[in-house]
Amino acid sequence: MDELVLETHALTKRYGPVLAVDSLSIEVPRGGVFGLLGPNGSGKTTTMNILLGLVAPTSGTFRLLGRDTKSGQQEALRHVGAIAESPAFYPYLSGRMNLQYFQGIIGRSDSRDIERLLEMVGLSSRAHSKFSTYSQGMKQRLSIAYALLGNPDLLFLDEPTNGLDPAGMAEVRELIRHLSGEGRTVLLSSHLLHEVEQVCDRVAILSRGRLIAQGTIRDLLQQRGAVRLSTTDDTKAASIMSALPWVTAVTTENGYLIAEAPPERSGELTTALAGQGVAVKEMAPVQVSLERYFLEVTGDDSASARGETP
Amino acid sequence: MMAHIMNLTRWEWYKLRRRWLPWIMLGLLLVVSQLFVWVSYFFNRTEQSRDVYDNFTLPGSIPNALGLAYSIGIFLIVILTASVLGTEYRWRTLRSIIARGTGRWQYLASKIMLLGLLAGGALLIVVAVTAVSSLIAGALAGGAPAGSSASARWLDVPIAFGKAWFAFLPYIALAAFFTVLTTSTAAGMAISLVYYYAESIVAAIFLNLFTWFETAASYMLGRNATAWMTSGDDSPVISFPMGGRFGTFPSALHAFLVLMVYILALGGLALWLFRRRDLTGN
Repeated sequence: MDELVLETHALTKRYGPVLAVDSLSIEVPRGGVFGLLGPNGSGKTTTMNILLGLVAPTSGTFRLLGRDTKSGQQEALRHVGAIAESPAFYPYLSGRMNLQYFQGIIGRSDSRDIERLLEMVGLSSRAHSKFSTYSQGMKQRLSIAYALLGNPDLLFLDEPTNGLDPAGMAEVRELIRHLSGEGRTVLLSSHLLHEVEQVCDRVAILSRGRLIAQGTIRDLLQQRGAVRLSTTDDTKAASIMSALPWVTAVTTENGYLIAEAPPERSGELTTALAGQGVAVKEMAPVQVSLERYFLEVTGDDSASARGETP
Repeated sequence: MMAHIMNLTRWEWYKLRRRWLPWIMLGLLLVVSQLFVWVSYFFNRTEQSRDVYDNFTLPGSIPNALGLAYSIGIFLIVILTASVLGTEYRWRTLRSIIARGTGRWQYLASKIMLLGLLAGGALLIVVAVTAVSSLIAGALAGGAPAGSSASARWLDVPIAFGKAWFAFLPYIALAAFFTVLTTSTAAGMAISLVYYYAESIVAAIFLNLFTWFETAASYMLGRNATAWMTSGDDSPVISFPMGGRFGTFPSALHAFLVLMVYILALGGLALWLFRRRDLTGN
């Protein structure tokens, strides 16, 4: 097993009758980008808040960068950079002064870091301007610079592309890959599934505070493989395939049959159909997207979170 | 640990000195504290007496100026404390600070320490400005009235300074507690000031109605702060313009101990609450 930078054990947070995080146990190995996914209200932000020492868990424990939460969370957090969903800085201070202040209280980097970080996030020319005059995108960029102060080993990024234009979003994705390539671990919380799919190696999917799935994106998607096919008798083929125990569902899409089954069992599928007189005209594995996978495993929760009727 | 708190205090000052609020307050404090010097000076021009002369010349002018600075300083320190703490909630910057491993109680302790140091610094500036004012006023007035001796002593200066500074501390703790409790600048400020006024009004009414209330009143914050500030004065500045009973003020030792209990209790409650409360919301 790889070295873990974060492990939670039965982490639980209850707000009165509401169970925001329910016995959450996740493991984040060192290096790479780990995605925390879930519909609104699934417990992502509460989990991040617990890990960042902002919210006390009702029960459960976690280890951060090898340190026990009871005694070493504060010390561990000195090696963790974080971005909250909405950037929070002192409005009357300039971008540079804000970074100087946070650098001062963290006490883990030298003054050259600030200029380097301002350059990296493209704020050098506006570093002297007050934070209150920044656009949403500039505020988000300053958040990224803040998170990187002190050269942290672990980064918690909660919706880091919020407020950025498409070019800015692409830059941030590239930056996340770059940071991961430098050996840092990034824990990314995002509702933009294509963003997660592009940058994350592993994900944990939460729903109603519970862990639904965890693993590499590749492994998770393979569990939900599908085969698209066209036959001489689609009605009969659908009936035959539905009877197979390893085919979970058969649907029709754009004139093709979609059988939800592991693509590596395509041969068995062809044999079963041929055995009952149905010839396969065309067959291809279907790559399930993370979005489709996400919607399937979260089911009604994601729809209700969007205010839709299931 | 102490070095960490000192470092946090230093960086709190880095932020605070870039705001307008403390400088406006200092200006106001200086203007009000100099009133006694200059009113006495102009009064002396019409009716010369040694007592009036001592009020605007050194060293007698300084305890008077510090007394006035204390009177207005209570409001200013309550407003400043509520603002320094409450804005961290309003701007959500508290999350950014705690999330980077800054200990909660150390952070609040650094804020309270800074406010205590600022109160002391402001009083020192009052002393310095009063000294300059007094020298100017003394030079303009000429010599002291003939046939009298000075009643003021230089020893009264550090005593008045220490008294005024210490009397600010429970009000810093009070405003810190209510601001942490409400997580709001406006609410923390309002509740602290209402408490200040309500306490004196309740004391005034109840003392006139019930003799037994004197015991309860002797443990009230405002009453002990006044007793502490006026202890040792020949003519303590205790006024009750409507007439009636105002009771007997507690002794200086009693007032010191009660104020200390308020500082520790309110400061401790603020720290306890600040440590255990969740910081939710983005």
